Amino acid sequence: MPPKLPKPEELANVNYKPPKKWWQKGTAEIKEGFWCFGSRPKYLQAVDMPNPREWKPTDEDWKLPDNWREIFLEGMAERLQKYRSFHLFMDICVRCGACADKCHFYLGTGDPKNMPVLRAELLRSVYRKYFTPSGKLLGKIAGARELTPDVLKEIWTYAFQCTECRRCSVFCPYGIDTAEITIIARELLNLLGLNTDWIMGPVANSYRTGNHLGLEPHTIKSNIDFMLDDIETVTGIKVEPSFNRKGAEILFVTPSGDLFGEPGIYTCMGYLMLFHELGLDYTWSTMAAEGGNFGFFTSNDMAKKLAYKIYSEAKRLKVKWILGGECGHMWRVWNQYFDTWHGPADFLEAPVSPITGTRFENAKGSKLVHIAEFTSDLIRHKKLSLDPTRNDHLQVTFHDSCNTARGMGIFEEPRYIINNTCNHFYEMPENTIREKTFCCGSGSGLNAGENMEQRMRGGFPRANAVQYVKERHGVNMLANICAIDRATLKPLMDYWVPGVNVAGVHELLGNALIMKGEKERVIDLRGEPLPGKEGA
Amino acid sequence: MALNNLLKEKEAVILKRWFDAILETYAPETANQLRQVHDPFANPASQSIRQCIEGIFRKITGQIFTEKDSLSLENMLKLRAIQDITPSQAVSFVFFLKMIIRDELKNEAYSAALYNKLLSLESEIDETALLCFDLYVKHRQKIYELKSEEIKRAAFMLLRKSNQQPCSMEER
Repeated sequence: MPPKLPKPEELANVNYKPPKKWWQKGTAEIKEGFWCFGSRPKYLQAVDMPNPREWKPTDEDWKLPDNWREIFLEGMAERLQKYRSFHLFMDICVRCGACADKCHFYLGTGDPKNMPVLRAELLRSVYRKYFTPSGKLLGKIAGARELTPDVLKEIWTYAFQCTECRRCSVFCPYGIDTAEITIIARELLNLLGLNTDWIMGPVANSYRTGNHLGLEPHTIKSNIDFMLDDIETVTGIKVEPSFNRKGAEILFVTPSGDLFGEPGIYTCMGYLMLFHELGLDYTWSTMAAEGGNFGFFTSNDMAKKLAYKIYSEAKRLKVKWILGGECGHMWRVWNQYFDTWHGPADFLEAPVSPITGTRFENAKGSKLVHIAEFTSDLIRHKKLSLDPTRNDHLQVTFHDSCNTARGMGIFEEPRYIINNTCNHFYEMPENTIREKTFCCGSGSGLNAGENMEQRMRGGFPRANAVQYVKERHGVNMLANICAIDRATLKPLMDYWVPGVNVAGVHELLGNALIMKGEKERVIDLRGEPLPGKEGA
Repeated sequence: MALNNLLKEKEAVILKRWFDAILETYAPETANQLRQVHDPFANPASQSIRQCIEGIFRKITGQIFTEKDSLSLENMLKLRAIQDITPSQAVSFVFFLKMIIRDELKNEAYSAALYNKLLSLESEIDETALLCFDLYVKHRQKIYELKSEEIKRAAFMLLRKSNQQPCSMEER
């Protein structure tokens, strides 16, 4: 007898309610669009990191060493002792939920495990089981759980669904920095060779060539030559920067994305024009041509190792101080870690602007000055001639990058530059900017292509705020001071808010800057006609 | 009473039930958050759902379907296209409306005059679901386009050097 067929009304009766799952079970669903490719062995071998092998996150067997559990737990014990903050963060959370709806990934995915509290709980439950008497004795009742392969996979999945943006920490009444928990979780995973290709590639490249993209010195120079040709086309001025010049006053370092990708190169053109106009005694380095530090997304030791190339190069070139371009996590690392790792940098001098005489007291330890501070100081002292009408076709809003905003408190400087180079600037709503800024959704090494859906989810709250100012004020340009933002906000805008473009603040400055001896400008740095010069 | 008037009378109840039915498809913690937080910037997903269902309701009840409504429909499907759900789940929310309207009008719907109108209203809901499916597919395709465009942007200088992009500004 044939099986009984369901009636139409039975077929239509679909239950859309998700099944109730007990979160502590550890369900490691590795789903398309969420994960980044596992690191290729050659990258791990290049920097001598553990367990190099071919693996894919969707494989059942992750080819872990036999004693993986011991390695993980010993690593955890070591870090609990080493970092008091980590130990505290494991203990003091009362699960009040203040952070729960502050995470852009939670708002975009709707997955409760992306609530910062629950994401941290994935690791905390393991901590309780192995490091607290209550967890050892009471197990599940005390919120503790065994470190099983599924739990490990779950920790991996969610450690790479956090951009370490620290928005949740702004709202935590205890000041728990969930980003730091993610950082440690990733460190522990790295002990087992569980990292992503998109992070390890730049780490290995940086170690070998001094930059993420693996650009050789001649490539860096020829890329900048292309930009110099473009600057000459726009302004009629031939800019001639120097490379690896010993005895220059300042070493300039920017993320290598500005040297290669679009629209980063337009920001780089802005730097080149500014320095030329000032007659600044500075040099580029082709050996330390990278401000970014993807080592920061693997382990403290790797980040420290890669960071030193900047100081080492400054020492070799005998410069006085270091100026850094527009970047996010580069500045988090420079501002918060450099001094601790390698300071005091007493082979350098306390930075003083050669143009205005301003002493950058905040940077007297690390000797690292942010270009937004440097440029806003120039504008404040009226050292630049600017024509903001050249940006009149732009209705600009500003995205505070998580790292420069929450990591170092740079709020006013970029806004000051924008207000002096553009006539139309509009802020996004108060709870989406400054220290409460929403992440681009692609930071901390998550800006790969294979997880594009996840990036669009993570960037949804940011895009939503941009859409608001677009509807209200006709905003068509999203300015920022971060190379990853420049790369990743573009697809985010193309998806959520088509018609809004993305630019670095120094691109806007390059357009507005009146240079001595320049020809009449008719096009901007992208080769587009300036307002009122369409027929020229 | 005309069907549209009846629906307008019950608009608040229908929209609430529809919103709740959509939230039921999320995890309970997320549903609570979507229900409770009303700030459009702190809770953009909730705002997208609300605006979208209000727009669709206006459309099927013969009210003016504005450009803003069209944008909110786009936004909802953009969200559904990237969330971790199947294509059928992504557009399923439209069909919830049918069930809710049938239930809300169960006492009135069987009068002969209203019954025919209800059938054509349901056809309109079906059409809206098809429109949503088109939007869903459009945004899924957009994801792949974003991936390829991003690769081109990241290798912009390489493409210029290999003459795959205009080499200089004059050539552009």
